[in-house]
Amino acid sequence: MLELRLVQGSLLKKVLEAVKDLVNDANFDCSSTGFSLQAMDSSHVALVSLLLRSEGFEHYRCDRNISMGMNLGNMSKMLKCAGNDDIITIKADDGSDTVTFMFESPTQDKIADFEMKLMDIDSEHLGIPDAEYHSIVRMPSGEFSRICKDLSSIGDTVVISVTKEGVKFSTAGDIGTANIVLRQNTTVDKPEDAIVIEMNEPVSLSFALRYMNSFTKATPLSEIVTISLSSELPVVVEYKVAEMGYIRYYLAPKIEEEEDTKP
Amino acid sequence: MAGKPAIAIASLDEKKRKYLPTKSQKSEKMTLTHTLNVLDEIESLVSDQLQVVSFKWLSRNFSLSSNTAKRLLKDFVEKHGKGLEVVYIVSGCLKNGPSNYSAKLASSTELPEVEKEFNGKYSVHIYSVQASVPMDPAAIWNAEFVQAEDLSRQPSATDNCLRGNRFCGISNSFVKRNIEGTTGNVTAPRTESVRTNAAPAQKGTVLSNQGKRFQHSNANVSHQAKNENNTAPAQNQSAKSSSDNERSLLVPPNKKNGLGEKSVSGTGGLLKNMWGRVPVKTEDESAKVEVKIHINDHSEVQKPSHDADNKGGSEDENQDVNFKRAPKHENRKRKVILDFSDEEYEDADVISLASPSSPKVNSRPDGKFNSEDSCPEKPDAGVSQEITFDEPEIREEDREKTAVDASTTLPMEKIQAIGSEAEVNPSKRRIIEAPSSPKRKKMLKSRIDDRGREVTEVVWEVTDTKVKKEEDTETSKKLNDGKNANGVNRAVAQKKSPAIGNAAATNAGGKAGSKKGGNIKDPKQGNIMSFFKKV
Repeated sequence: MLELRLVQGSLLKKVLEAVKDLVNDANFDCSSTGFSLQAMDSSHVALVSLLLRSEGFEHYRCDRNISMGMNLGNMSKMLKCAGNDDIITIKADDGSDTVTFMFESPTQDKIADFEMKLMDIDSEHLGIPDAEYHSIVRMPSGEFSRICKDLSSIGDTVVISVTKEGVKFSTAGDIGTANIVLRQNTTVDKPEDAIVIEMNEPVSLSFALRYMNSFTKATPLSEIVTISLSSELPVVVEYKVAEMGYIRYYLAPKIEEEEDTKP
Repeated sequence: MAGKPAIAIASLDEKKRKYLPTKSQKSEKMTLTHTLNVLDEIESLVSDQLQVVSFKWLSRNFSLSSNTAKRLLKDFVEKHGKGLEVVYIVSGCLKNGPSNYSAKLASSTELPEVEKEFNGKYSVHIYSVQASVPMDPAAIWNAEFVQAEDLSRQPSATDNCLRGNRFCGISNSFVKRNIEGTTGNVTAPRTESVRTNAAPAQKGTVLSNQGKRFQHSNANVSHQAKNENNTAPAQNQSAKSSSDNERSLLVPPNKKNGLGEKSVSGTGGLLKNMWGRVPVKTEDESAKVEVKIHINDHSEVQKPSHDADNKGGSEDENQDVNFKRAPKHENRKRKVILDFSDEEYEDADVISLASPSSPKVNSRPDGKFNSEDSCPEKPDAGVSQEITFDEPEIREEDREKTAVDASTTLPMEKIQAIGSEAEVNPSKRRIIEAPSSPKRKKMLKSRIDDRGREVTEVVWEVTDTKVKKEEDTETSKKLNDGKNANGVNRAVAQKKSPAIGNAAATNAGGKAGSKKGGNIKDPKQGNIMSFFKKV
């Protein structure tokens, strides 16, 4: 028996929007600690990891660990039927092949039940080691989204270089090149507008902008995005989900021989 | 596939119909298994690879006569047809235009309606079998087109069914095939020029320009030919072909007609169509009032071409697009195309009234030929007679018009030329198609988007063949360059990947394609599995 009641239903809607472009089908894993998802995109280049901790739910009941395979497109369709202020409850019975989404309007005068069929998905669960990253950039998520969007109109690969001067996003395409440099800036009125660069070692990696752009679908979830870079490791793009968890995207870099010869 | 014994094919026909132990037991067994194999193959193609299997494709692929192929499809539909979409080809004389022999494609639901349009005797065959009727009608002929391209790209010494043309119902004892000499000469330089010109980035535009140029030259040639000898299309053909391409002699015109034309439609982007017409509206409002017959439509479209040759070229293409599409996809499609012009012409009543009707009139002759080419191997004396008959007619009309309106003379001649070219000498189109073929990628893409995931894969295959076969040298060069430059220049490296990746990204559309796309296109893209281990 599973019953998760999320008062801020819009969070779940946003989470789905943030994931469904990258992954078609995925297993949601429920345990006593929380509601999580890990999935790779079909080309096995990117990985998304979502965690919503049990504390974030108003009511969280999960008798035993359960894995529910869902088509995210279908799930998104159902969640779109929920109002932004609705309270969403996810329910599943043991051994059932369906999951129920219940939407309650804030005034409790409307209650909607949507039952969705589950599916069997062979998922490859990857162990993600905790790693020390060479550089960590914290910046406004909207800014990051804008940069990715702009650069993708010029090229299809972004080179993210972190030096002590700042972080540089550059691309090159048929029509020309683009470089966007952000400097550390912590003297702003609002903390969410700050650009914080923690650099232990300079790093420069190239990534496919296509994926970056799908990561930025999570922008509505959080004002701040954290980009952690290490050579030899996938980049991590992390958005916090309110106070209850995170959505992390891992993207394998494009391998370039020149990396070795870089200063 | 080209080498299957003709006897087996012939006997196959009989078996197919009766399953009687006519010939020796052995051969029957052979043909039966052959048939079964073919049916199985069709099933896997249609349901697994989501390919459109048309009788033409089938005929070429298995070296069957087209009639056998049609029969096979019929058998297939009877046995496995559930859940599949069937497109029929109905040919005969229309009620509203009894003098013209026309053919229409119809899906099974539309079939009764289409049949009503025909007068008296008409024939209904299965044109193609597919999992679903594609949104983009061009998808119907795509497989054929790719196949024809592959066949004609084979080394000139290779004998294949296109070159051999052994299933053509029309034979001419005076024409001898000379595969080694002429064809090879003609094809080789063409493809080369394509390669050299197709710089990675501008590929599309360059090619389309080229296509235009070819078209122009072709048009001129054919026009000349016409002047010399108005009534004899055969002469035209030979004149044209000798000037440009000997292959036309080797290949039955009707066989390649559709393909060639379509390829041109590939070159003419939709946007181009629309832009091409914009000036028409402003300029021609007065002119249209003067002349109202269908030719006028041409003149409208063509007028801007006085200003710029290029524009004229694109217009020609536009015309062709209309012709091309119309017959293949029935009235419905035709209307869609015309709608553009209608919208633009809204201001002038005369125009809006005239323009929709005229293309129909116009396209009918073309339609006829097209339709004929969709059942190319069927020897139909009536049809061929009609063809020869109609052509001069059109021309004379054109002439008259030219006389009436001096300003339209030039473009009209062009149309005339092109029209006739399309009709009589499609093989030339075939050549044009070679340079323009990379453009076709675009059409494929859109088609992909419309459909599901697996379709994307099919499209990928197409692109792959493109990349591999046509731009073989290019890509390898690119890669080499990349390696050399890589050490120093990041920009170079990045530039290259867009060139490959653009097509990829667009084709892939989304996640579906990315699996293959990501890996195939971008060898540099790392895999997340190499960083994290499975639990």
